[in-house]
Amino acid sequence: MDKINAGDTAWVLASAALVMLMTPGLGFFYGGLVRRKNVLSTVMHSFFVLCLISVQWVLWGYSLAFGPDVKGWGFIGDLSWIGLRGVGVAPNADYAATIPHLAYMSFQTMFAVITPALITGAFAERKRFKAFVIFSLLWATLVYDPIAHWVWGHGGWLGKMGALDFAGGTVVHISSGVSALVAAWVLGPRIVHEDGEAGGPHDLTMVVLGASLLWFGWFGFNAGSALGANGLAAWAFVNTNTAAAMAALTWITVSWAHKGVPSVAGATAGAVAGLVAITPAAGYVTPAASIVIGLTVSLACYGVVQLRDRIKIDDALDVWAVHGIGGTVGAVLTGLFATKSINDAGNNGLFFGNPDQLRVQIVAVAATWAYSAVMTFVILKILTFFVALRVTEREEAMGLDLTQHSEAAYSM
Amino acid sequence: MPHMDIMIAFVSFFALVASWLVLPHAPVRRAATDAPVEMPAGVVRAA
Repeated sequence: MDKINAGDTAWVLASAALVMLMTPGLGFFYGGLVRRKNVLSTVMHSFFVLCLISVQWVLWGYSLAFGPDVKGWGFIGDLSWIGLRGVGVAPNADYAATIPHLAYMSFQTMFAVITPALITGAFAERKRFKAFVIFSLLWATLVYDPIAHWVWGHGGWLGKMGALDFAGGTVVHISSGVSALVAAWVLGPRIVHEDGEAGGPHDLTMVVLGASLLWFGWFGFNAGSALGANGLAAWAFVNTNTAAAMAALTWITVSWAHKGVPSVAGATAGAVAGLVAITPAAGYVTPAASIVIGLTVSLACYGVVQLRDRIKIDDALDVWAVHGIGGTVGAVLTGLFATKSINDAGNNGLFFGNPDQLRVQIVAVAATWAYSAVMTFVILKILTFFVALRVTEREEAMGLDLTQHSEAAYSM
Repeated sequence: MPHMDIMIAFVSFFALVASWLVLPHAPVRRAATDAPVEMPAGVVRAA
């Protein structure tokens, strides 16, 4: 049996707790961005997913994602670990040799939780709660678990091909971002009032609080993915903070030049875009590269947000623009900037003499885009036979807090 | 019986999931006063 390292175990468990906090933080981030009549339903999406996927993961999700590969195809894990059967204190050297297997599983739980929660921003303010619940369960099982296996599972086909995804650029952000676009398209746009009701963010202080919680938790997301209290965690920590800061500065500057004011909402969107893009790269690139990644992703995501109105798809909170595009930018730039001087277990990218890494990264991105889009569309279309995806026009006009939960966020 | 705990856990979880599909939705009421809620005035249109 491999020897358990106390420092590594403490860091990974603490990181799992940090990542757990990101999901309620996401609820605050999204909650502040919607109209006040929908804030509770939006926060509830994230909180409910935290509960739902925590149980799904223990029962079968972890086994599908990280269990022994089925027939060596690299597509999905088998069910031999259902109910965490055989997952105990002894480390699993295929994943993390110095921490209890349970600690690794717990860390991965929080990634599985936040990914479907990210999608909820696309269908905010109009999705029926019942439909959201069933969709989240099916999506986690049929989309997240297989893609996690492709990239991180032992024997996964993208992992074997050499795809680099340190903490989830493809597995978490591209999968959720692309699925968000498809979900917003299938559900159709929100209803807009003509009676003078204010649209857009109802509480930007809540947005800043949520973004700050996300940034804080992201240190666990990325530095925790080193799976040890070591130098690689320090690299990932520095890169995470640097990219987020650079991306926020860039977004503020671009929006200032474009619209004449340094936007507060823009600052938070930029920070999140930077965090998304550095996620696949955090443990493979230098801090200088993280600055370039932060700059590039902000320019890309800001441009795509401006295009959103033209494509006529109401991705309510720009999940696709920030997570889908941000994750894609991060994954591709990892193929340029990765260097073995940071992480010997990784690989060199194009700028360090290995052009093939860029090809591998593009294959991983393309596969994740295609699979996420097709499966999300199929899940939603099948769901329509059993449950209405949207609330009625009347319920939407009244707000989801009252119609879905019979509660109101504010009494003043 | 081996893995009885896992079997019971699965049954329990799926019982919850099944209940979400069939549970009725209570009439919409405003939480603070418990009064019925009316459709807001004003025209609405699709975006």
